[in-house]
Amino acid sequence: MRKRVYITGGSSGIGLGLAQYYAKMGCDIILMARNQEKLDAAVSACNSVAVNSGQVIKGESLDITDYHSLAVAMDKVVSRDGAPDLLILCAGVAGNQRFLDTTADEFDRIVDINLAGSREVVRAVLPCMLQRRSGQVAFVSSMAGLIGLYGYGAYSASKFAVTGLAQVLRQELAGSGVRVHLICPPEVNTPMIAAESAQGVPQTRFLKDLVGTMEIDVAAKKIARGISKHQAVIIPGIRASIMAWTARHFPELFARSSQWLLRWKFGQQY
Amino acid sequence: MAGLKNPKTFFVSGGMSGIGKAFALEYVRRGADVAIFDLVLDDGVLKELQDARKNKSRQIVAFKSSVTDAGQLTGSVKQAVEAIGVPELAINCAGVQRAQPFAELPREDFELVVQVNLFGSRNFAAAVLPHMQQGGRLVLVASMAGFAANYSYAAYSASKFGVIGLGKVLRLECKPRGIDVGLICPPEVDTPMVVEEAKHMHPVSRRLKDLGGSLSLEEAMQGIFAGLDAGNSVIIPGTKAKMTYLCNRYLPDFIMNTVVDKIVQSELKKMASDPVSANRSR
Repeated sequence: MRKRVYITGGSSGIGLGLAQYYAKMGCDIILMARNQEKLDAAVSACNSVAVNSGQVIKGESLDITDYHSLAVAMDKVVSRDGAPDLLILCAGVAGNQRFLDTTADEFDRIVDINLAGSREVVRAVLPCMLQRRSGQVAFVSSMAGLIGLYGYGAYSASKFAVTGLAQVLRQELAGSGVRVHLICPPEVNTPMIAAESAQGVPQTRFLKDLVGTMEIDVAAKKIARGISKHQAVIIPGIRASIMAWTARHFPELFARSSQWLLRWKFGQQY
Repeated sequence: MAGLKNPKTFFVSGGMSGIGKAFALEYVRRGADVAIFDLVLDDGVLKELQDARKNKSRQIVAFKSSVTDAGQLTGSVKQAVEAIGVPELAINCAGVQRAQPFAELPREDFELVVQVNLFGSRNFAAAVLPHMQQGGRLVLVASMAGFAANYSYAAYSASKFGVIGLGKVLRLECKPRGIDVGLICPPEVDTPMVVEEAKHMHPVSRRLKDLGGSLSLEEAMQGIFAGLDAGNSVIIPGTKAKMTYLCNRYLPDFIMNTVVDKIVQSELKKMASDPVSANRSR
C-alpha cells in the first residue's frame, strides 16, 4: 500500500517542499490550494520527482476559509481518493506589522486563515481517519507559535492558537490511532517570507536573522523525519531548537534579552 | 512606579462579574476612577461599586460595549477617556468558555470563543493602547489553558494560547513607550463563567483541571493582586497552578504527555464502564 498524503497550502513554500519530499518517497499526494495555476505547477513539480508510474498526484483547488465549499470538496476528495494516512496543514499567511498598525480586519484575516482554516480542514477529514483508527495529522505552526517576536502580533496570536489547538487534539486523540504533530519551523526561504521581507518591520528582520533562514528542502526533510519518528513537537534546525528551548525554560530572560537586543540595535526608543 | 499599586484611572472589560468585578471593586477601594466595559450593565453591581468608594468624588463610568465589536469598543474607550482621563491600568477580562471534545464542538461555539477571548483581547488592546502613556500598564487575562492543553478545550485553549502569544508580542512592542504588558493565567476560579461550565463539564476535563487546582474568587484575587502589585509580567495565582506551570516548562514533553494521556485514558475507561454516572456528571 502506498502512503496517501494530503497537503493544504501544497502549491508553494514548505507545503510544496513536503509534497516533493513525499513524492520522492513514492507516496500518493493530494495537494490543496486556492490558485489553480500554482496548483498545476506544483503537481507537475511533484510528478517530475515521482518514483513510480502508479503514483497518484493530484491538485484540488479549494479555499480553506470558505467553510461550506471546503467541507463539500473534502468529502469529494476523501470518497474519490480515500482517507489520508498523513494530513499536513500547511496553508497559512504571514503578517509582519506592529500591532497598532494592524487593522482589526487584517488581524481577523490572519487568524481566519491560520487557525480557522486548519480547524475546518481537520473537522472535515478527521472522521474518516478515526474510522480507520490510523493516520497522522501535522499542524504547521511556527516558531512564532512558541515565542513572541516584535512585529508579529496577529501572526503570533494565530500561531500560538494553532499550537494550543494541536495540543488539545493530541490529548483527545491519544489512543484513537490518529496521531497529532505540531511543527514549529523557523524562517524558511519561501515566497511567503520573500513577500514579507520586502516590506517588513526592521526590528523583526533583525531578531529573525539571529535564528537564521532555512532552505525549503532542508526544512522538509527534517519535518518529515520528525513525523516518521512520531515526534509530538517538531522544531527543525539546531538554532531554532535552542531558541525555543531558551524561551520555554527561561521566558523572562528571553523576553528581556529580546528587549535588550532591540535597544542595542535600534536605540532606547526602538 | 508610583501608579503601580494605586492607579489613578482603571479600565476593565468584563467588569460586571467574576474576576473583572473583583478588579473593579479593589481599584475603587484603592481610590481609582474606574471605567467598565461589559455586555450587560448591572445596576446592583454599579451600586456596590459606588458604595465601595472611600472618596465619593471618585468616578465610576460604565459602558454597554462588546469586546467583539472593535468599532464600538474603541468609541466607548474614547468616551471613557474623555470622562475620567487616560487609563494608567487597563485589564481585559471579558471571556467566554464552550467546552466539548473537538469532534462534537459546533463551529459556532468555537468561533464565539475565539471572537470573545482572542479578538476581544486584540480589540481591547487596540482601543486602550493609543491613549496610554509612559508608566501605563495593560494586562490581558489569559488562562492556565493558555499554556497547558486540556481535554475538550480545543476552542478555549486555542483562544487563550493566542492571547498569550499576543501578550508576549505586545510586551516587546510597548516597552519603548514605557508601557508594561502583563498576562494573568488563573486556574479554575469560582466565577459565574465556571459555574455555568461545571453544569456539563466533561469528566476528563474535570479530572485534569483538578491537577491545576480550583480557587475561590478571594484566593485567586489575592494571588493576582500580589503579582500585579509586584509588577510581574506573568501572574499565576494558586500553588497547584504554579506547579502545573513549572511542570509544563521544565518537564520534557514526553513525560508530561505520557502522564496526561494515562489520566485521560483511565477516565475514559471509567466513563465507558459506568455510562450512567458519566452522563449524569455531564
